[in-house]
This record gives sequence, C-alpha cells and structure tokens, in this order.
Amino acid sequence: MRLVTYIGLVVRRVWSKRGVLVGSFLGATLVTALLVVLPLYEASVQAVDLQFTLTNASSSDVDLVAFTSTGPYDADVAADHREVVSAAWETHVDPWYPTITARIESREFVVIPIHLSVDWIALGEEWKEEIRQLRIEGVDEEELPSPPYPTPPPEATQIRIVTGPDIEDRVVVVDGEWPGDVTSPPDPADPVPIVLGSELATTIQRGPGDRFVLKPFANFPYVFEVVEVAAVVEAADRSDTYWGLSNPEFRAFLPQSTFDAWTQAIPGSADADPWARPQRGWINTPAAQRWFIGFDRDSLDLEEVGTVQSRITSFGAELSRESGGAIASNTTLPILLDRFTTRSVVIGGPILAILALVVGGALYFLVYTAALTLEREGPEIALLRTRGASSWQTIGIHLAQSLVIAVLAAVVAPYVARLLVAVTGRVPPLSDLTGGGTLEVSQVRSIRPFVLAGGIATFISMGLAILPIARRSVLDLRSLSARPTRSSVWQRYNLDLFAIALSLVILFQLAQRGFINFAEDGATLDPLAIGFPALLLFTGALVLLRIFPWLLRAVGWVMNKSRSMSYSLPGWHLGRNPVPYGRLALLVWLTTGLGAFALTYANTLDQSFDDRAAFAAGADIRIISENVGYLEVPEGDVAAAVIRGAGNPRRSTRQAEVLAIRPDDFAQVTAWRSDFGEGQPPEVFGALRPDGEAPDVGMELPVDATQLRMHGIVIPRSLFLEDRLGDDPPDQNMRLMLKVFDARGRVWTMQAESDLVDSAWSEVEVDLATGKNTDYVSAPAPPLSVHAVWFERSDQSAGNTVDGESVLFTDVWVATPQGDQPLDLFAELEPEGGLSVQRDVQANLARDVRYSQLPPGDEPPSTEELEASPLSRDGSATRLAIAGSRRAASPDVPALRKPPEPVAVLLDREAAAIAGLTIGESAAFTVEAEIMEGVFRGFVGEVPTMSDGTKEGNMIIDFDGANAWLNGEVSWSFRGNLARVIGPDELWVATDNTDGAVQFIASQLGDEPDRTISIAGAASDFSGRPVQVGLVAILFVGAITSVVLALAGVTGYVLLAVSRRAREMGVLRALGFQRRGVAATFAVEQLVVLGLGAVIGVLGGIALMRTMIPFLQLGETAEDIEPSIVLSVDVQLLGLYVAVVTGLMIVSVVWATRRVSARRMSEVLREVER
Amino acid sequence: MALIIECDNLIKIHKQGNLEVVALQGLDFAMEEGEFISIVGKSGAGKSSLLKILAGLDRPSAGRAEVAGVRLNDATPAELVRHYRRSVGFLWQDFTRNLLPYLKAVQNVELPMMLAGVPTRKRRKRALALLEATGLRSHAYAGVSTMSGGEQQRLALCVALALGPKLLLADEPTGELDTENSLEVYELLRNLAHEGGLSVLVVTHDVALAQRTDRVIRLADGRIATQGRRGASELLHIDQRGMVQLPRDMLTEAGIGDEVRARVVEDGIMLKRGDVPDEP
Repeated sequence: MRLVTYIGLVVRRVWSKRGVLVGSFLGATLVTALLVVLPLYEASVQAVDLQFTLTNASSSDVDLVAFTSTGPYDADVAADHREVVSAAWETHVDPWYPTITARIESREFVVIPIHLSVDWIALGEEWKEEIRQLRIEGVDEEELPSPPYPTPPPEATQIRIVTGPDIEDRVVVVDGEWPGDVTSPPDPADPVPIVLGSELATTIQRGPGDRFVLKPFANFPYVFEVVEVAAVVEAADRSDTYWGLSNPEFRAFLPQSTFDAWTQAIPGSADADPWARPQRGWINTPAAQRWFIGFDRDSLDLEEVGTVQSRITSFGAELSRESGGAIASNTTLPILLDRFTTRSVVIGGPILAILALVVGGALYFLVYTAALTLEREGPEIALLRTRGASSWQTIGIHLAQSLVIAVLAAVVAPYVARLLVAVTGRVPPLSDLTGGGTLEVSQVRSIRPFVLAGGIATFISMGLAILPIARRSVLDLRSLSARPTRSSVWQRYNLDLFAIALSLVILFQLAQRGFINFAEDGATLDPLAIGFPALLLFTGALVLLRIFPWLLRAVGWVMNKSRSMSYSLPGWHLGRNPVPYGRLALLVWLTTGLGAFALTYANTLDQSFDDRAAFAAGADIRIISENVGYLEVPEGDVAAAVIRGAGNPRRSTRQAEVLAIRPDDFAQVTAWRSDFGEGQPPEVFGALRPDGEAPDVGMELPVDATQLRMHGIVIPRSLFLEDRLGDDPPDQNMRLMLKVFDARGRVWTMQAESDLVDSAWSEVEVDLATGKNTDYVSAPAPPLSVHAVWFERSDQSAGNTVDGESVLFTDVWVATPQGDQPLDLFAELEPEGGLSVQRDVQANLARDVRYSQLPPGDEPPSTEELEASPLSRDGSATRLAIAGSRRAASPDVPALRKPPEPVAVLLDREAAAIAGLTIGESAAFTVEAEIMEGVFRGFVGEVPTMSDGTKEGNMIIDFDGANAWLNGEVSWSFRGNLARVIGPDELWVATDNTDGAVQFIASQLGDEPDRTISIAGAASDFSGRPVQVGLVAILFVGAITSVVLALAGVTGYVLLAVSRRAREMGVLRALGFQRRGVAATFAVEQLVVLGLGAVIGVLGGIALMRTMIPFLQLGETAEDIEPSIVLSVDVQLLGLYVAVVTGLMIVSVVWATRRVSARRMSEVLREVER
Repeated sequence: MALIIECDNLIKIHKQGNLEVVALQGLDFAMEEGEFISIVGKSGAGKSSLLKILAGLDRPSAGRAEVAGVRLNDATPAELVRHYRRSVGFLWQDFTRNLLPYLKAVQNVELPMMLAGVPTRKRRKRALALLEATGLRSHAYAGVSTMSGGEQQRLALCVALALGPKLLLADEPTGELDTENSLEVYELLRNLAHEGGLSVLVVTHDVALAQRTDRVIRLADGRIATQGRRGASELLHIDQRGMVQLPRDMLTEAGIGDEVRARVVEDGIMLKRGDVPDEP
C-alpha cells in the first residue's frame, strides 16, 4: 500500500473518531505538558526564587569587597592596587558586578586642639625665638631645647581620614566649602584644608575656619600637621554600603590627591614652620584600601549560578596572585547561592516525585483509553483483517493514529505547560514574588528533550495497546466489544507481588541511606527517592486490582439481599464477574488519589510552615532584650518571662538547652501543637508546680510595705582597744543590706539609708521602693520577699572587712500605711557564710563590751555614767556575730538567707536518658554554671524555640525556683559591682496586636528591643514557601486535569460497558422495566464501583502523602525541620473535592447510561451478539 | 470442473467451559467452481462453524478443509492474508459490520484494494465498475449512513468482490432485509455465479430463498443430513471426557428416547432402547 494512501486512511480514521480520540489527545497533552513543566520549573520558578533570594539578601551579603592594608600608605602602591583590582574586576566579575567604588581609610589620627589648653603654635613660635636668641648667645646646638611638638591631651579624640576618587559625591556639605586639591601648600606655613563629618565637628567643637593639629597615632613626634576645617559634611546616603560599618559622620575627609600628597614627605620651609621642620606630611601613616563592587541583582540568570561562583573564586585568586597576596576579597554570595542550590534540590525532590506520579497517572489514563478505544474498534479491526489487512497493516494503522495524537500533543503541550507555569505566577503566595503578574517563562530551548520524551512516552503508551489486540483472531476481535478483557497480565504472572516486593526493598534502602545524597559538590536527590512514590502508587494500584474483585463480590452479595431490583440486579452483576471493573476503579482511584494527595500535600506543607513559624517565634511575639522579661505588657495581653541558657542534666558533661519558665504564664502564651507533649501546655508545664504554688524565695512582706526598719547597734570596741589603735581608729559603722525578690522575680539589692553605728543605739530604715540596681526600668513590684539580710561597710576608707564585727538589734519592723508590723527575720532566714546568731543576749552587751577593758590609768565609769551612756539599753536583744577567723579573701558574705528550694525540672527523653533519672528523683543540675539541687518532675516533648542543634536534650526549669539559685547568692555590694543578674532576656507575649505590644514594651525599654520575633515575621523568613506552595498549585492543576480526563474515561467506559450489555437492557425493557429503571440499574452498578474507587483513592492519596513526609522533613537547607512535619488533612476542603468529583462522576454515569437506555427498544433488542 | 471447496471428514469441537460441543462431526463436502450453493439447517446444525472454517476465521479440530487450493487446517497468518485477498470475499448478515462508517461508498470498495496495494487509478476504476454493476453508481460518494439497508448490503457485496475473489461466503446476507431487497440480492448473487464464474456459498435459514440457488445442502448435527440411516453406519467423535454425541435423527429413527442401554460386545459397544429388556 502506498504511503500516501495509507496516511490518508489513517487521517480519515482519526478524523472520524475525533470524538473518541479527544480523550487520548488530552491525556497525551497532559503527560507531555507535565514533563515540560519540569524544565520550565527549573527555569522559571527557580529563576523567580533566585531573584527573590537575591532581592531579600542585604547588600553586604551579595556585594563583593576587595581590601588591602597599606602600611605605610604609598600612593604609587595604592595606584598599582587599583589597577590590579580594576583588571581582575573587568576580567572576571564585571557582567554581574557593574559598579566599583574605591575607598581609602587611614588608621587613627589624634586630634590635638590649638588655643584650648595649650597654644602649640605660639609655643613653637616662642621656642623658635628662644633658640634664635640662644644661637645668638652661642649656645651649642646640642644644648638647645627640643622643639615643643604638639602632644595629645589625655583621652584625645581619635579619628580616621576617608578619601576616594568620588568622595566629594558621597557627602553633602552642610557648612563651609569642599576644598580643592592641595598637593603642596602655596605658603609653606599654610595648614592642610580638611573636611569633618558633622558628629566629629560637634565632638571636637570645630567648624569651618578653625584649626587644630592632626597627628597619626603612635608615630614620630614631628609627624603632624596643622589642619584647617574647610567644610562640615554629612553622608549623602548613610545606608550606602560604601561606608561599611564605619560612621561617616565621625570621619574626616580629604580629596584623594590631597591625601596621596600629604601622606608622603613634602619639602617644607623650616623658617616658616613654627617647629622648624624641614619637611612636612603624615609619613608612615597606615591606611586601608577597600573596593566596593556592587552586585546587580537583575543580572544573574539561573544558568549562570555556577559560573558566577567560579568567577568570584577566580577574581579572588587573581587579586591575590597579582598583588602578591596583599589584596583579598570577600563576599557571601557563593554561600547564598550554595544554599539556594541546596534548597532547589531539597524542594525540587518531592515536586519531581509528585510530577512523576501525575505523569504516571496520566500515562495510565492513556493506556486505559487506548485499550478502551481498541476494544470498541475490535469489529472494525476484524473487518480490516477479513478485507486482507495484514497484522502489520493493522498495527501500523493504530500506531500511525497514536503517532498523530502524540505529535499533536507534543506541539500543543509546550504551550499548555508554559501557560500552566505562567498562570501560577498569579496564584498566591507565588504572586508575592511575581508582583501578581504571570510568571516569566524562559529557557524554552531546554524543554525540547522533554517534549520529545513526552511524545515518545505517549506514543508508546497508546501504541502498546494494539500489540495484544493484534494477536487475536478475527472472531475474538469481533466479540471484543461485547466481552470484557481477561484478568490483567500483572496478576496472571504475579508481577504485582513482584512489584510489592520491589517497593519494600526500595523503601528499606531509602530508610537506610536517606533521600538526599550529600557530596562535596552539594546535595542531590536520590533518584530512587523520585521514583519511589510512583512505584508505590503503581504497586498500590496492582494490589487494588487484585483485591478489588473480592471487595466487589462482598458488596454485590450485600446488594443482592435487597428486594429492589435496582440494587439486587447490579449486585448480582458485581458479584458474578467483578474483574473487569478493576480498570475503571483504578482510573478513579488514581485520579481521586492524586487530588487527595495534592490537597493533603498543600495543607501539610502550609501547616508545617505555620508550625515552623510558630515554633521559631514561640508565641505571638517573642521580644529579646536585656531583662525584657520584667516588663509589662498591654492590658489584655498575656506575657511570660523566660530565661534561656545552657545546663547539664545531673551535672553531666553533656550540655542541654534550658528554658526557665513560670508554668502558668508560659502555658498561656506558648505556641503549642498536640504532639509536642502528652497533654496540653497547662498539664505538661504544670508538672513544675504540682501544687500550683510558686517556690518560696524568701520572707514575703505585706503588699503595702514601704520601709523595713531595724533598731540596733554595732558592738563597739573596748576603750582599751580603741586607745591602742591610736588617734584615728577605723570606723566600725555598718550598713544594713537586703536582697529582695519582687513580684516579677527581679532581684533587688537594697540598703538602709544610714549606718548602724557603734556609738549609740539607732534606728535604720530601708526604703523598699528603691534599690541599688539601676538597670531596672521601674520600681520594685510588690509583694516583696526578703531573700537575704547582711551588713557591709558603706564607708570603706577605714577598711572594708566586717570580720569579727557584731550587731545587736532589738526589733525589726516593716512600715505600712496601717502602721508598723514586727518581722521575725529568723522565721525563714538562716545564717550562712560565718554569721552566727545569739538570741536573748543582754541589750547592754554593747555598753559592757565598751567598758570591759579600759586604757591604763582610766577610771571605770560610775553606774550613773553607765546608765546615761547611749550604749545602754535594757532588756534583751539578738546578736549577729561575724566570725573573726574567716579567710581574708573569702568572697562569702556572712548573711541571713533563705536557702533555695530544690528547683523543679522537666526533661525531654534525651536529657532524661543522659541524666539517668526517673520522675520524682532528686539530683544536682548545672544551669549557667550554677549548681543547683533539683527534682525531676516530668517529661516534656518538643518545646517551641528549643532547636539548638549543638545541645543534647531540653531542660525546662521553674523560673522562680531557678532565680533563687541563680541570683540569690549574696555578694559584697559596696566592695565591688552588684552581683551578676541572670535575668529573663526573653518575653513571650500572646497578643492580638503585635505592633501595639512591641511599641508598649519598647516605650518601657526606652529603645528598640534587640530582637523581636513574631510568628508572622518568622513565617516571612521561609523564602522557599511561596515557591513550594506555587509548585503545589501546579500539582493541583495537574490533579484537576487528571480528574477531567478521568471523567472522560469514566464516560467512555460506561458507554462501552452499557453498550456491551445492550441485549440485557433489551430483555429488561421487554420484561417491563421502565427506561428510567433500566438506566438506574446500570447507573447504580457503575456508581458503586466508582464510589468504592473514590473512597479508596482518597485514603490512598492520604497514605501516599504520609510516605512523602520524610521528603518534606528536610528543610530548605537540607536539615531536619523543627517541629517535625505532621500529616495535616483539611477535611472540609477534601470533602468538597470528593463531593465535586463524585458529583461529576454521577453526572457522567447518568448521562452515559441514559444515552444508551434512551435508544428505541427495537434497536436495543437488535444489538445481540452473534 | 475444478473444486473450489473440499471438506473431508471435517470435525469442529467448541469448548464452553468444561464442556465440549461438537459443531461439525465428520462433514464431507465439496463445491465446484461457479456453483451457487445454499446451506440450510436448524440453529446449532453447524452452518456458521462450517462457514467460519471455510473463511479461514476458525480452524477445524480435525479433518481437512481446502479452499481455492489453500489448506486451511495449518495455514500461516501470511497464507491467510493471501487467502483473504485472493480467494474469498465475505458478506455478513449485519451490514454495518461489512462497512467502515467513516469512509464513503467508493472508499469502502477501494479499501481491500488499498490494503492489497492496487494502484489508485485502477482501484477507483474497478470500484466504480462494481458500484455500476450493483446499481449504486449514483451513491459512489455518499456516506454509508445515508444509504438504505439494501443499498448497504449491495455495497457490502461490492466490497467483498473488490479483489475479485474466487469464492464468496455469505452468512445470512439477507437476514436484515425485506423480501424485495432479499430477492434482489439473491438475483445479484446468481448473476455473479452464472455470468461471472464466481462460486457463491450462502448460509441461510430461509428455505424459500435457498431454493433460488443451484444446490441446497441441509446440515443437521454437524453433518450433511441424509434421508434414512437404517443399515448405514456413522463415524462418531468421542471427546476427551469419553462422551459421544449421537445425531438426533439417528435417535429418532431408532426410537430411542431419554434412556439407552449400552452393552459391550466383541468389537464395540451396542446401544439399545432403554425399554428393551437386556438379553441374558
């Protein structure tokens, strides 16, 4: 047969079957389009991601900086350096780094004022006059006085001079005039015109016209210059990377040529110079040259990522080589791009796997529809065979038909793929990256192999179906459309069992070696990992094919019990020969499975991002600043103060992460997920305080207590001893000190307003509203708890030790508006550090000691004198005695102190394993180097923000309990600084108004907090999120397309299935069934199959998602995501999807059955198989 | 005249599950070139089985079937293709199965020639000639669906004759036609046989129409029915399970009802009516 004739026949055949073949065409287009999406994904979505990554990076991340130190600065060497950098820049990085600016910054100069304390110029002139006179007098040159070179005053201002080719353009003159180049002074005595930054001008109080001496730091005494301020400037753009970390307002400036000239030796005139220097110039001044090479964020294309990385390396290498190692370069762009590449691989993995699934599903659709078409064409093929067509001619016609469809699909698919990718640019959150526009699609050439692969795959998928058909006899072919095919080849040869075994082996392999391969050249996705989900789906499909008939038999048996023929008849059919329904169920299963998978994937991914943001933030807002945990929050908001640190479970050498929390507050604010612990936060963290009570940290004072008073006396020395000490014996007076915890947990060191003296009984008073702590922003918050009481020397001039001293006191009160209330210090406080307590001693002890030994010759006082002594006091008192034999250097402060209670501790499994503790057991723990007793109260799982990979395990401890250990120890407050305070540097806040809460807290701080982390802010840090979700959008579009295709397949199948049973239909009609009844009988049968397929599909899709979680568990940087990803199913959305799909299927089935059942009865009855 | 069909002791057994049904049992049949023969018989007599074997669509279980010199028992696929192209033409009862609906009338006629590689001009000329001969010239470029049943069956005849076969096999060719159209088709077949030298074998239920052929062969129980069997012996096939299917007319003639008494004798098994007492 001639080729042209043959093609003509094929074309006529294709055209005549266009209605049937449109499904195959759609399927082929989808397969090819999805394959093409892969390179477009590489090219377009990654390009957007790259752009997004680069846009989000700061200039310091992406810009290139070359630098060298020239010490001493030499203009010629600097010029050589400039040449080297310029050449390397043009050779290697110019395309991506279009701008280069140079900056030179000197090392420090000191500012020496003139006319302030010393007029150095006048001194110089005087010296010149003096030596002139001395020379006249004939004094030997060696005996002449040295010149009075200016020397810096104490704490002289240090500045640096900045210059560069375009320095004038980078500043704005606010006063004076930018000076011209002065390479040598017209008058040898002229000062160097200099420009000052505005802050510097203010600091040294110099403006235009003012002069001062500028001298290089640590250089020869005669190297200095008198400079005159020409202008005061400010930076044109303070944020310009040109300034780096330096503050331009605190710099001095010179034109480049002036700087080059004045850093050399300039011949001068000794006569004109006040110090008679023969040459001038800041010789030997070190300076640093720096080049800022600006990165153009729009210049880097995706395919250049590797190139730019290697060019940057080459740039650095050339600089080093050409400058003999003097010039180095620095940029973090390669690291940024490495991270981007890793993220692309990690994000791309699951997407590729999912696309493989969709492509696999669509290929199945193709095979399925091709087989259906061929079954319908059986009689026609038989006719061709009886008309003399050979097997090859029969096969050829079908292959040619498949080729036509594959070619058409290959032509259309790229446009579909481009449209698909482009449209997703409008889908949130990808639209955040594209600005709401379509995604720019590039890299069109690279899609050609994928188009070819798609064409071949679809051609083979459709074409293969003819092979088993072509082997059949003419008689078989003629009956093909009336008799369903036999059981699948998979089951006949148990290939499904083989596939299951293979899946298990691969699953085991992946579990052993992970999904990502990390090599020296970066992370790559394990090819097995991409194929595995597809294989799993395929295997699941085969398993379904095997078990589905049994399921249908069971359903059929149940339906057979119905009295209604509309149920029992379909039930009988389902039970009688269920095998052929498997293919239809499989199609529905694949389709709904993909849709359910896509929805669950998107939901899980989205939920995970939310979880990660919440985990990273910890609460609605987490504010980090020194002692911020002590601040108040707006009314209605809830806050928890948190101390973060490191500790050792049971003094192990392995360090765990530690959070000190108040369980009630923390439970209210922490972002929680049900799998973080065994219960809700109040239960989990409530274990820290089983009785609900906060640990007792001291003696609690009344809420309205204003002062604490003590009536006492320092027991004086005997008169004899005092006499021995001479005229000015050391003072014995001592100050009453308190360590107090306020209601917020702040630790306050308070002191009495006056000393207890040794000369008389007196009353001292501690104002409870103030403390020595000056870094707290508000007054102590009542109620206060007195943790410790001790005595110190406030006046240390007479020595600051208190060893051997004793204090007697009769009463301690707290003053309240209602009156004074006595306070029993010993109810809770215990002596420590060498303090001893003697109760009920004679109050007259002070007097008795005073007069116990008299100086030789003195008469003992009379009784009257004794009674009149201010040291006398009737009754009893309490004596606090400080041991006299303490080691002199002992840091322990003798004090009355509340011993800290064992702190309650929660551990995670890892920390508990390290500690080897069981619940209820006591042990010593170390927190922030403080050893404290603790009780292991319970287990905790994951806790938000605790993700320090360098630590082993998590410890949660009671805030107040730990506070007493960390900050309760008494220290000498007058002898040194206040003891360190480990405060809650984090405040976790639950609020509806994050901005308001931050403002409220910042207003108390008086400054911006060091760091504010909100859930919303943390969420925006995940740069991969929009890309991932955008890709899921593509996936979902693919899944929806699959549904449309499946509906076409379902309709085709039902039409064929119902046509096959036309005789049965005719018989039912002849027996008196109504047309609608017949249609219902067939529809029920098909719908049972479809319904079962859809239910299994949804469950299968969710199960498949479960297997994908290990993929997602790897975050953007290929590190484990915290918290771990959990499957998240949006039941409502999934329900809606299933409802829509089911509804569409019902419509398809009912339409198809009605179409067949609506035929005339005579016509139906004639459809009898011969 | 030369024989176009030779069947010698032709046996065809169909398997239906575990059962074996003997459709043809030892059929002997021959047909000369140019003959116009009809085969009649009740349903299940073996008519269609015989036709399928002669058409090369099915293979005999035993015996010999030779058509136009092609031994169909062991014909290779290539020989069968040649058989379809050169030796036989088919005409089925369901005329929609004789034609491709997406081709025009003339294209349908050209199709077999196209498959056989006949040049375009030659096949168009022959197609038009055939349509002319069957009175369908005016419908040459019409779609199949626009033609009446009789016209479609005549068109199917043109298709069957397109490659000039020696033998035309027709299975109930007028089953779906009215009497007038049926007579027209039979007249056409007769002319083809008598004037064109074509051998025509028609299978039909209609005895009246069969009478219009040169020879009527009646099939019963898978063999050519004979008038009276008394004294004559029959060779019967024993299937794999040891079952023998006895011809109904033989049973009737012997007066055997539902039961039969079997007895092993010296050279075989003797069957007698069940109600005849067994000899001692």
